[in-house]
Amino acid sequence: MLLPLSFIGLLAVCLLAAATPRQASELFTPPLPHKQQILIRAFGFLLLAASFFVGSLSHNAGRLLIAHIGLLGLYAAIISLGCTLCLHNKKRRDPAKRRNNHT
Amino acid sequence: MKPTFRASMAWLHTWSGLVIGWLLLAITLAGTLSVFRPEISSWMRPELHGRLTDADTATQAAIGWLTAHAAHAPAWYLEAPSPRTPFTYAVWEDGTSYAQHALDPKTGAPDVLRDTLGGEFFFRFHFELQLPYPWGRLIAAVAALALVLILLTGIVAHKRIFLDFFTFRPGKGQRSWLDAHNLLGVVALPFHLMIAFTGAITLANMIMPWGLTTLYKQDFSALTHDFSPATIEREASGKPGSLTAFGPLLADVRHHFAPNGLARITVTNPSDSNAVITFNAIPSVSGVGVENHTLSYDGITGKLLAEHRETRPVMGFYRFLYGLHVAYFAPYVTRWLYFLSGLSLAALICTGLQLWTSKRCHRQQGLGFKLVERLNIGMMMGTPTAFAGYFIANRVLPPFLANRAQMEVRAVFCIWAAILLFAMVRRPNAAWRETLAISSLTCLIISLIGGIPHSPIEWAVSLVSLGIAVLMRYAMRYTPYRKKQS
Repeated sequence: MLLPLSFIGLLAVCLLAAATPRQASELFTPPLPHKQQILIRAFGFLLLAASFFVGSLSHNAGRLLIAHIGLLGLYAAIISLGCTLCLHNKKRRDPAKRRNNHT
Repeated sequence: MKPTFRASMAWLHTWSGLVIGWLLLAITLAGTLSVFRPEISSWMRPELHGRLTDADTATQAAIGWLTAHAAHAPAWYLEAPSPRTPFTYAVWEDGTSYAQHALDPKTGAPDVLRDTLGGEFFFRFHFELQLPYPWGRLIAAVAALALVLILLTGIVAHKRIFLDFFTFRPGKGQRSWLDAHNLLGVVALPFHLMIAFTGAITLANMIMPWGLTTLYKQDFSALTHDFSPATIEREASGKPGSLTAFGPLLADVRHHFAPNGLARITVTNPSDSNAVITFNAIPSVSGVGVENHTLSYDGITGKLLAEHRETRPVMGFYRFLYGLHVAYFAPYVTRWLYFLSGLSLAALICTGLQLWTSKRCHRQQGLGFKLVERLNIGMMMGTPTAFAGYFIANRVLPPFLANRAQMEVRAVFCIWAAILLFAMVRRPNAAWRETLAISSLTCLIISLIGGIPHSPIEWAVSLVSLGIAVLMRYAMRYTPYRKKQS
C-alpha cells in the first residue's frame, strides 16, 4: 500500500514544486502563467488529499500515514535540491545562449 | 518592545534558539541515533557472530545464569531477545550498585560479550544527559518545551512559507543559511512538531509534577499499580524457593501475547518463596503505541496471578504519543525516515545557530559574538565527533577490560571537551576546517574499522558513516564564510 501512496505523493510534491510562485517564475522560460499555476497547484493538493484519504482507509492507517508524511518530507527535500540544481544549470547556460543569439 | 507580533516572535525564536540550541543539538543527535539502538548494540558486540540462538533458548540461558550467580538480588530486569536484539540485556542489584550486562545467548554468561552500553548510551543520554536523577531529565524536559516554543515562533516568524518552499539559493552567504534553515524546517515540519511535542509530553511530569503528587502524595506503589494493574508487588517472605521452569511459562506467555511478542521480564524475589515473574508484551503489531499487555505469574508455582490489557482511553492516548516518539512500532522504512528526519532537525538547529553568527559577522564583534562563534564550532563539530569516537572506542579498547563500558562513555566526553577547547583557542575559520576534517576522519575510521562488512547492520553502519564522512569532507569547501571580510 505504501508504494502506490508514495508514488501519488511524489507526483503531488512535483506538481506543487512546479507551481510554487518562485519556482514557476524562475524554473520555466517563459514563466508559468498565473492561471496554470493555480490549476497545477490545485491538482497537486487534490492528489495530496487523495493520498491521505486512501491511506486513512487502509488496515494499518496510523503507521502508513506516518511513513507517508515522512516520505513527503524526503521528496520535498530532494525536489528542492533538484530545483536548486536546475536553476544553477539554467543560469550557467543562459549567458552562453545570449552570446550565441547575439552573434 | 517589538513593533509587531511577528517581530516579537522572531526575536523570541532567535534568542531562545541560541540559548538552548547547543543542548538541543546534542539531545537531537543522541535521539536520532537511538532510533537504531538495538542495531547499534548488536554492532558493538561483534562476539555475537555465531552465537545466535532462538529467543526462548537465550532467555532460559539468561535465567539459568542469573539463578546461579545473582539469586540474592531483590529483582532482575530483563529485556527479552528479539529479532532486532538477539541477546538478553539484564539489570540486577549487585551489592550496593546495579549491574547491567548483555548476556550470551548460548550460555547466559555476561563475560562472553564485551562490556558496553551500546545503543543504550545514546538512548539514556537523549533524556538523562548523563546527569544524576532528576537533573538530566529536568533539563531535557525544559529543552523539549523550548523546542516546541522555538518551532511555533519560527512558523510565525517565517512569513513566506509557501512562496519560499523548495527554495535554496547556494553561495549567497546569510541568504543561503536562511534558505537552508527554512527548507529544513518546513520539509520535515510535521516530524519536528511531533517529536518536540511528544518529547515534552513524555517528560511532562518532571516540570509539572503537581497532578501526581496531589493524587498519590508519596505513595509510589499506588502510582505503579494504577499505571500497570497487573504488576504485583510482594514482600520477600524469607523462605527460600526455586523458580519454576521457564520453558512452559514462556510458551504460555507467547500464547497470551500472540500475535505480539515478549519485550520485558521482571523477576522479583527470585530466590524467595514469594517470587513473582512479570512479562510485558512488545508494541502491538498493528498499532503505534507502546506495550499494553502485562502478565504476572507466581515465580514458584507458575500460576497466572494477574493479567492486564490496557484499554483505558487516557492511557491509550499517552501510550500512542509515547509510541510516536520512541518509534518502537516502526518497520525499517519508517525507522530510516525517523533517522533522516532526526538528522534534518539537527541540521535545522545547526543552520539556525550558524545564521545567528553570519547575521552579525559584519558588525562590530564583541565577546558574546566570539563566544557564540566558538561554541558553535565546538558543539556542532564536537557532538558528532564525540559520538563517532564512541563507536571507535568500542572497537579500539580491549574487549575484556575492566570498567570498559564506563571508559567508552568517558572517551565521548574527553573528545567532546577536546574539540570544544580546540574551537576556543583556534581561529574560527581554521577551526571549522580542521574540526570538519577530524569529524570526517573519525567517520571514515568507523566505516573501515570492522573490515569487510558481513551483516546488514555492519553494512548500514559502514555506509552511513562513510556517507557522513564524505559530507563533512565536502562541507570543508564551504566553511570559510568570513573569507571576504578578512
